[in-house]
Amino acid sequence: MPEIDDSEVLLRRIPKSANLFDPDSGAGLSPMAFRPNPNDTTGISLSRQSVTAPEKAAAQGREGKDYYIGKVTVGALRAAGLTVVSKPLEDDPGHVEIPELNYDNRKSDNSLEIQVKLAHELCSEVVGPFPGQKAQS
Amino acid sequence: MQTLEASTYGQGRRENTSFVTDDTCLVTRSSRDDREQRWQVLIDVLTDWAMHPEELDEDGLEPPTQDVIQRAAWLACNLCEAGVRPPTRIVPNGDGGLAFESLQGDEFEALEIQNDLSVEFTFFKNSALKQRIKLA
Repeated sequence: MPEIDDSEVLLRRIPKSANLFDPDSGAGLSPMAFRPNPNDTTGISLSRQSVTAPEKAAAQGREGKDYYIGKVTVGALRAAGLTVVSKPLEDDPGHVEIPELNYDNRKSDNSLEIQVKLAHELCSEVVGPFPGQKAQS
Repeated sequence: MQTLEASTYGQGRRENTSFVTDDTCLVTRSSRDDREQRWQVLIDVLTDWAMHPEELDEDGLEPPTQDVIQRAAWLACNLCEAGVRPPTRIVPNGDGGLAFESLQGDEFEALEIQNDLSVEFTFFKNSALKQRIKLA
């Protein structure tokens, strides 16, 4: 599998209702936007912008809800010592994971620092909100 | 881990640099009104979450429990009374708990209420964890 280039932009879906980002507050993004959930057993999920547009990444969220999209470059992640692993999914061929951030270690000192760094330093832009379009299972 | 009283949160975030509260004459009435108003906005968010937990229902994310929200509201009222500046925001932690978060320049602090109602304070400078305390 070809290496993902440092210049690639990765997208992180952020539920609007969770109050993790308010474009009017100037407070930036909450580190909780990068807190692994029980589905993130092998790493938190992001999508490659070269494969999945921000609107499409948001559309993977639930129908009836809105989502912001946080952007971070692969180079910035690698410079911070993080790894980007390609894990294509049927409904998201650009799916990648950051294994250093997973559900089991989500409350470790190192994981908390990475979450803060991602939110406050590495995330270069937040766009949206865009509507989710996935029917609830 | 150390055990400290809840007043640790916001020690450096009083309304002025001398760490005085509204009980002193150094803080004007208008600043107190503004602070209380901002705390009230956050308490309104908690009330909304208590009444509409489905708003935070996401795949893989557990919304804050009613007990956690109640504890957060109690804490918010007490911190407001104590003259502590309100946090930047309140966010769910995805595990049935929530966190008060404050960002000022390169300093970030969070007061996280876990789903077992335990409370933890963390302080970061330039994204480096400087303090992590389990509160009583």
